[in-house]
Amino acid sequence: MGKTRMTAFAVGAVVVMAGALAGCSSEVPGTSSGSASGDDITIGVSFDNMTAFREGEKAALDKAAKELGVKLKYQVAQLDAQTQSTQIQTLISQGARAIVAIPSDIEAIKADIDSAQADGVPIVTLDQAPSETSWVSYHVGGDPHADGLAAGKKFVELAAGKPYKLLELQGALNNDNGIRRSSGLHEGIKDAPNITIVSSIPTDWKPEPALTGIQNTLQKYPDLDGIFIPTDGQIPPAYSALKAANRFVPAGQEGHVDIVAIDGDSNGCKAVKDGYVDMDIATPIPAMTKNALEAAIAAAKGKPKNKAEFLPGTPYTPADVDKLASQVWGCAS
Amino acid sequence: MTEVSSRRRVRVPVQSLVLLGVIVVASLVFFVLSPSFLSVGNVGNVLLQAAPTVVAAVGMTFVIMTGGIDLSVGSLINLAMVAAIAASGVTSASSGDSSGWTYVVAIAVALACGLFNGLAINLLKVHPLLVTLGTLTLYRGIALHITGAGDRAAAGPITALGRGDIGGIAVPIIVAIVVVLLGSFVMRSTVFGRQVVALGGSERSARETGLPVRRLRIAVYVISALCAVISGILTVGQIGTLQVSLGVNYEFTVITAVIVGGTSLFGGKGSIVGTALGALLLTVIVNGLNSIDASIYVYDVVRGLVLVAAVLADSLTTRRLSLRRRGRQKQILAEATSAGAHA
Repeated sequence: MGKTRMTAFAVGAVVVMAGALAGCSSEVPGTSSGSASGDDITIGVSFDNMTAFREGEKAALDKAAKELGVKLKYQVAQLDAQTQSTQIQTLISQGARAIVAIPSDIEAIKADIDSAQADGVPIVTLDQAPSETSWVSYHVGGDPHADGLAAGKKFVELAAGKPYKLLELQGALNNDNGIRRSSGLHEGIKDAPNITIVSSIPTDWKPEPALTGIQNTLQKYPDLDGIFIPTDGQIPPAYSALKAANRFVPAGQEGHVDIVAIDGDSNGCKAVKDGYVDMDIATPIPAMTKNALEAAIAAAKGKPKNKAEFLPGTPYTPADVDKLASQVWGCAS
Repeated sequence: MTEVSSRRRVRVPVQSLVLLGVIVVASLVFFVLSPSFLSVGNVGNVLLQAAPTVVAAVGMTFVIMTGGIDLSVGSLINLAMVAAIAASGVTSASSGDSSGWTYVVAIAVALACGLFNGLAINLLKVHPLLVTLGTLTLYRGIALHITGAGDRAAAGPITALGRGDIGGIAVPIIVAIVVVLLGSFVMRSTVFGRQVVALGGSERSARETGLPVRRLRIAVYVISALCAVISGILTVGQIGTLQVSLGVNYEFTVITAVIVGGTSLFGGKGSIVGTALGALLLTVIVNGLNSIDASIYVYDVVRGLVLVAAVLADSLTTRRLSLRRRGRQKQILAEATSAGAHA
């Protein structure tokens, strides 16, 4: 094959890919301008990664930035601590007066915090706490243990004292949110000997292991009573597995498998409205992001808050979803 | 060349048998600990869960047989599926049906990506590892650009292959069997397959004997992309959602299946059936651990141990075969020398 023909093919391949993209909407993390009603401060935002949940946080940060009159500059570290470190330095060199960071590595972020502070730029952390919250001027996140605990108590209520087989999908073993949601669940059911966790499946927050884990558990325990889902993104695969096992039945009907999930995204909101999920716990993203930005602005002005806040989620059920929809970030999207 | 091929034909079944033995032993252990593991329903589950990896790994086998590697398969799946679902007009995580065109768009985008990989490797003349490492980031970046990191619902026609069944047998299992048979036939019984093996054996010899090295290289990356997107269609169809995480680290699972299946990372040696068994072993381990209600902390340990055992068993068998062959050659040589002396 001649070089010219190969070049033509390469160009063709790029054109086909570009064509596939042409009809698609695009949206990437970028810069969000505030209304400039404040002090025209630029805040750097360093995300560990981009996911649907982070996209929800970005939207809430953009909204809060507008209200508070600050400008945001985003960087995404693709789950690499080294990249995050470089990006934080870049944000500082681009004039960020404070940084809101979601640490990719809860230990490695210490060096970045020290380095930024040496440059006079305070760091506040959002969602994912560093190993020691005293390292930062402010931390705000959800309360994964409290959310897990609420889920556990819901299962105790649903079991109503009867023998109860529960499947636990575990978020991730190397992640604070995954570990503490799980520990909260276990604490929530510890006084209910009628509830047995028949299987705990590590999922790394992904839908594929959730699907296979539910399939395998339903195979062994066709009379499974409940499933704990640590992130709403795993609701669709749960549906698939339940449909295949003829157990996809709404709450209140014979054969229903109880489901309690956490996050409050659009999957969770719809599932609760449809009556297939008995309770979802919405992470308070709007409050978290606004608090983080307010703390970052205060720290940039030399008034650090010096505290850590863990905000428990909002539990909502088919009975009260309409009433609580305004507090569930996924119901708005 | 003929001698090499005939030797390979003898060796492949032995390697596959060793792997089959490991799968049988692992299955028996899981069966003893949890009798439901070998129930008809669960065996069907294992095959269903292994199917997407089997399909993607067959494509990867062609690439690795040439001495190449395709690190972009996971990202390629993500991009192809994202583009296909976006082309259907689905923009929400919780609602919206795909159209029948989803398959066409997904396959077209995947083929374009595979073609791009092959052409870039030829044009840049750098190791496929570097090129596909670059396209891994490129394809995922484009997919992220399209969705803005949001989830997308996967409903309607896109789920037909992943969830359908024919005569009570799940479609993904049928697809995997067809892909394995087809891949095995192409690799063993066609000129193209033999050329792929020859290219992996020695690129220099392949060039000197006039094989179309550049075209072969492009072809294997296109085959890899095609198999990857079929795997993606099966996966997305099964899980019913398309997320940013789709395909993340999938390349390692696929490459592991190929290597455990006996294909040499240096190319020129391997088998499609071995690859399928490698993928099956990976699934058996996870399914078995689920079945015995294993602690969430032992998954990686057991997975690692069984994979090391599989590679070790393969290595010992290969060494024993090699020694036996060398012994036989020495014996033939001695007989020939002795016959010459008598003459």
